Amino acid sequence: MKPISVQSWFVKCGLGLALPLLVYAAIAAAGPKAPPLPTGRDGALEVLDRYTQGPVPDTILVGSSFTARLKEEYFDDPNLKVLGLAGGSSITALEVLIGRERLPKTVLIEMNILERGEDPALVQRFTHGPNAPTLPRPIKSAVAFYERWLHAPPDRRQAGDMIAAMLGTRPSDFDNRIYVDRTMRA
Amino acid sequence: MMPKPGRPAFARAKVVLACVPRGTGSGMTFTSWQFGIFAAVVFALYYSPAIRPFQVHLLVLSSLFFYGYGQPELLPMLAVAVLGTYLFLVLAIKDRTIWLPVGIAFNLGLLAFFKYKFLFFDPAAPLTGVSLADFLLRLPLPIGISFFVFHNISLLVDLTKSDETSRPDLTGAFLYIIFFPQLVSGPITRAQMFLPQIRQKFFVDVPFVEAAKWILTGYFFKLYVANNLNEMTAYMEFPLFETVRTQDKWLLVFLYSYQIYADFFGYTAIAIGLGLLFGYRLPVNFNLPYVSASFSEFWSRWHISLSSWLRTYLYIPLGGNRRGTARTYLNIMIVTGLGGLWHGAGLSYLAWGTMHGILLVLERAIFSNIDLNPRWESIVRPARIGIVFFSISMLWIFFKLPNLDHALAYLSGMFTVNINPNQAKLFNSLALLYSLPVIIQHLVPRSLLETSRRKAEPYLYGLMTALMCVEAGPSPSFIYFQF
Repeated sequence: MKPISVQSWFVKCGLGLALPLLVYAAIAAAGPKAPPLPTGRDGALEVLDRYTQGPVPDTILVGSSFTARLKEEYFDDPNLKVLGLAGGSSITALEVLIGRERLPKTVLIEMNILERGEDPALVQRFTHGPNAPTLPRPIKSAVAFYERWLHAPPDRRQAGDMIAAMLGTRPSDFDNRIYVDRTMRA
Repeated sequence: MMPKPGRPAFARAKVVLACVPRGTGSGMTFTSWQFGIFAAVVFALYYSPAIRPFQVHLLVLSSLFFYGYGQPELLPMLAVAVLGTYLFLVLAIKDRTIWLPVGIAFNLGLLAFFKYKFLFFDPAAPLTGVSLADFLLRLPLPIGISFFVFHNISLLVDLTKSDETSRPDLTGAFLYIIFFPQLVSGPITRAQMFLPQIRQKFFVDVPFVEAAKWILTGYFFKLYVANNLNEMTAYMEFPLFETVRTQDKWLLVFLYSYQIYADFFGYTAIAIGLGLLFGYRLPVNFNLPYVSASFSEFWSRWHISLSSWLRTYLYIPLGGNRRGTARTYLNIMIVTGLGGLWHGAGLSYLAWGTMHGILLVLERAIFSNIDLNPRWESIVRPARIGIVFFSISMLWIFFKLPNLDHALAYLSGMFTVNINPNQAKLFNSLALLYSLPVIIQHLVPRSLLETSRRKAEPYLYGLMTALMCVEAGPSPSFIYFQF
C-alpha cells in the first residue's frame, strides 16, 4: 500500500477532529440538558452548577451524597434546594454558600462526615460571582439519559408513597458509632 | 527527631506518610496548558538555525526550567545529583574498583535520604534546631528522584565497563539524566542507548506522524480513560470504600487496573512522542501487559524499562539464576521486594513487591517442569491470562491504598456483605465506556487492527482527540509522578 504523506495524514486527522466537534457543538447548543449523574466529582459539579445558576432558595440542605438522596420532590416547600455533593462534604457546600452574594434564610447541615475537608477547586470555581455553565460531556450525558430512562425520578404522588413506606419500616440497625468516633477525633 | 517510645518506626510511618510533602503540587505536568506553551517554544527554538549548534544546551536548560517550574528549591538537589554522579564517573573511568561503588552509594544515599527519611522524621514537627539540618529534613520528596537516580547508576555502570569507552561531556551527561520528557516518570533509558543519539538534529528528520500518534494516544489514555476512571476509583480510598457495595468493590479493583495502566502508558506514550519531536527515541515501556499468560511475562510487558533495569543492575549482579534454585528464588524475592519499596516508603508497597515475588517463585517452581501439550494451548492460555490479570488486579489494591490497614480492610470488604444504608452508586455502563479503549487495545488482535485501520487511521486519531477534548475527566496528577 502506498504510504500516506505527512500533510495528508494531518489533514485527515484534523477532519476527524473537527467534524465530531462540530456535531457535538450543534447538539450541545440545541439538545436537552442532561440530568445530573450522581457519581464522584462530576455529580458535584452538576449540583453546584444548578444551584449557582438558579435563584437563592429560602431553605437549603448541604451535605454529601447522603443529603443528595433527600430529593427535593420529597419536600412540600417548593423553595427548598438540596446541595448534596457526592463524594464531597458539607464544608465544601458551606464554603460555596459563603462565597456567594446572598445566603438562604435557613441552612441545614449534614453532620456525619465533617472530617472530609473542603474541595478547594470546587470552592474556587463556584464562588465570586457568576461562573461559566458546565459543558455537557457526551458519554456521561448519554449514560445520564439512559439511567434516567431506566430509573425515572418519582413524581410527587409516588414520592409521597415512598415516604409513607419508608416511615412504616423499622429503623436500620446499622451501627454508625465508628463514623461518629472518627468525626469526634477529627 | 526520634520515634516516640513504644511505637516502632514503621508503624509510625504510615501516619507520617499521609502528610509527606511531595514536590508535585506546583510542578508542570504534561496535561497543563503551561506545558503546551513550554514544549512549543522549545521545539521552535530547537530547530532554528541560530540555535542548532547549541541544541543539547537548550534541552538541558529547558529541562531545568521544566523541573524547577513552581519548585525551584529542588534545582540545587538535582544539580548535586548530576554533578556528583559526573564527578564519580570521571573518577570511576580511571579506577572502577573504588569509585564505581562509591558513585552508586552516593546515588542510593540520595534516594534513601529523600524517599525514606519520612519513615523516621515527622516533617510537621520541630526538628533539630540547626537550620541547615532542618532545611534538608524538610525538603519535599523531589519528583522523579527514583527515575533520575536509576539513570545516574546506569551512566556509572555502563560507561565504566569498557576501557575504550569515551567519557561523555558534562552537557551530554546532564541531558541523559534530565531530558524533560523522561525526567519525572521515565521510561528509564539505558545510558548506552541514549548517549549515542546525542548529535545535531534536523527538522526534516522529525517523524511527525509517528510522534503525533504516540502523543495523541498518550493524551487520550490519560485524559479520557485514566482521569474518568479516577472519578470512580476515588471510591476505593479510605473511608469512602466503606460505602461501596461488595460487588462494586470488585468492579473498582478491575477499573483501577485499567486506570493505572492507562495513566502510566499514557504518560510514557507522551514521553516517547516528545522524544521523537526532539530527535531522541526512548524505549517502549508497555506491551499489552494484561494479555500476559504468566507473571514473568507480565514483567516483560509492564514498565519494561524498570524491569530490565532491575534485571541488569540488580538481579544479574546478585547471581541471577546461575547459583542454584534456592538462590534464584532468593534473588527474585530481593529484587521484587526492593522494586516494591522503590515505588514508595510503605509497608503496602513492600507487601505488593513481595507478593509479586512469591507469585514469580511459585510460577517458576510449578510451571517450569510442566510440558503442556500444544493442543491444549488455545484453552489453557486464555485461562492463564485470566488468572494472571485477576491476581495482578488484586495486588493493585496495595498500590491504591498505601496504608496497609486500609488495603487489608478493603480486601476483607470484598468478601463481606456491606450493610451500610448510605451506599455509593456506580454505573456499570459508564465504567465500561471509559474502560473500553484499554479492553479493545488488549483484546482485539493486533493484525486485525493494523489492516482495518490503515486507511481510517488518521480519522481515528482525530476522533480520539475530539473525544478527549469533550470528555476529559478532571485532571489529577499522573500516578507515577509520586514515585
